[in-house]
Amino acid sequence: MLKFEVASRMSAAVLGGYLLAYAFAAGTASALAAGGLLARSDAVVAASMLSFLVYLVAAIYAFAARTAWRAWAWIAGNTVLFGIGAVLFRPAV
Amino acid sequence: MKPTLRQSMDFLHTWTGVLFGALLFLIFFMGTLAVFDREIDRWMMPETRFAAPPAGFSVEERVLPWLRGLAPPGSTFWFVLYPDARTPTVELGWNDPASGKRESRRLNVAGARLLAEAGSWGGTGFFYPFHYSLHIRWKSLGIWIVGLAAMAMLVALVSGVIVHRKLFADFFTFRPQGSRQRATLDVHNVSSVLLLPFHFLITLSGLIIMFTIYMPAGIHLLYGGDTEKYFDEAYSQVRRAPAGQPASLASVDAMVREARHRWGDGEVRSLWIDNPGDRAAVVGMGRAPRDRVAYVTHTLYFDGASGAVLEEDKASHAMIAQNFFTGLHLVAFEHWWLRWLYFVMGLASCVMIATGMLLWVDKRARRHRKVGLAGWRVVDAAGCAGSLGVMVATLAMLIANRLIPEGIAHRPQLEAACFFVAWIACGLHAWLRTTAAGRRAWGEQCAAIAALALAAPLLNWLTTGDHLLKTVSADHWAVAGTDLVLLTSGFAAALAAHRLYRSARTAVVLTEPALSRRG
Repeated sequence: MLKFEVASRMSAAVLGGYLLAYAFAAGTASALAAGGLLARSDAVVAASMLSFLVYLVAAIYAFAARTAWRAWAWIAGNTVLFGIGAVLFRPAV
Repeated sequence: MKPTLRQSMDFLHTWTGVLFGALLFLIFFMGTLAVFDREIDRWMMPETRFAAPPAGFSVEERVLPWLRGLAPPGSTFWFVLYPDARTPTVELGWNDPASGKRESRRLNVAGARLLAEAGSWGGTGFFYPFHYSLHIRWKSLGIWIVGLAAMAMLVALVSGVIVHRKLFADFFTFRPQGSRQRATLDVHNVSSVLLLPFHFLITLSGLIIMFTIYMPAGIHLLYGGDTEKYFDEAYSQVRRAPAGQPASLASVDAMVREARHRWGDGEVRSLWIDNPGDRAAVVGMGRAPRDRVAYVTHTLYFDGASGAVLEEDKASHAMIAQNFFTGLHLVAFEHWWLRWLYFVMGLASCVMIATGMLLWVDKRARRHRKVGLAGWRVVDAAGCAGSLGVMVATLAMLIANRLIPEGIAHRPQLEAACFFVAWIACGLHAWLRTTAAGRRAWGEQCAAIAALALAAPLLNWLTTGDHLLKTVSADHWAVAGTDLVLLTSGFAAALAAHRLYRSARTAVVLTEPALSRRG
């Protein structure tokens, strides 16, 4: 793999992956809490535990995707989706 | 041409392994030691080699008077950590409002005497925090580095499985008589595949324990970033500001009886008093999770002045799930066979990581040398100092623990300094003794491990009088077990050193044809 390609995939895995996991944890926690499925603290702990697996999948996909561009697009797209969910379901603190 | 999935996963597996190998070995090795951290405490703190008091002693009569004497007036927090099968001492803690610091002392309840301040950080104070924080406290940087390494470990595990062609066949493949590189590959595969669930879950659970640090997203969004508030809700914590009016404490023994009644069975592990002596005093106590995997403490809160129950932490399903991962990782339950299994599995993780790094070097040493690259030498030296060097440093610390006189100022710091000095020395030695002429560092550091590991039990005997016959016959398994592990490691290291010396003479690695697909 080319050096630029590797650097791009690596940052997609480490940074992009963390941002996606962060957005997932925020979005899922607020959706679970807003839907009344779980108490606020339970929603936080459930979403946070799963977010590590999301990070793992994102990191693997960053290298498994056919191109670095595609890896970035997938990770960024999902981050935005969960980010929108976080904003939509965000409760008044 | 685009690389296939297997090729990109091979690339990912190889490079996460090389970049994080030494760090992961350190984390896993310290974690493996931490499985027996309190037994190492007994070995390193001979003054604590006594039997635990029988359960059910009166905390009111035999513990609280000590705290009243030790804690300065105005102290707003008292803490009692109960003894159990693995720790005979009671730990007393309190905050000092003048310095803002937490102080602590250890108590021998049966002997009714306070122990001198510990001259060693021991397993619980040095090896265990090393495992999760690397002793880098600045802005929790060490914890974050360990978290990144844990994610790298998960990535290496998943990519390693995808790379694998014959997951099942490798269970039964070991070719020690073939080339050394093939044997290394077999050991790497067997230790990885056989214990894959352990490697994966121990790493994932480590991340889950610390999720409030690693993944504060939910707390930011739902609690406005107030982690304390989250903990208050998640654990039904009770906190009250002092009322400013003095009041005497109701019977703490009665509160303990009430707690045991509500729990059905089980003992108190920790007990604390907020605002002691104040009308708004709160007494909290958590149940010892020694009979279950999940680290659930069912904490109870009492009104200090009246003794009435204020709150009971009824762990929710989500919290029990998190507590299950916590308990799975921390091994707080009392089960000796499982504890030994954790120890052996932890060692297997170390073997997997070290053999992975060796494979990288074996595949490249010949080619790198041909084209004049230093990469193999860097990784080989780092691999040696990062694995054997860590063991040498650990043993040097144990030896220092037995040789530095008691009562000397900054004794714990001196012990830790011995660890780091020995480790740096191993790093230099590994670099200097890894040359194109041969890889002598591995054999020599194995020899050092053998010498130190065999010397440590001897020094334990000479300085404390506790030799194996005595400790085994007295059923003092914390000390006996540590001695036995040291002796076993010493003999194993001597055997390894002997074999490595033989192969270093023929400089096997540099003449052996490379097996790798990539060369």
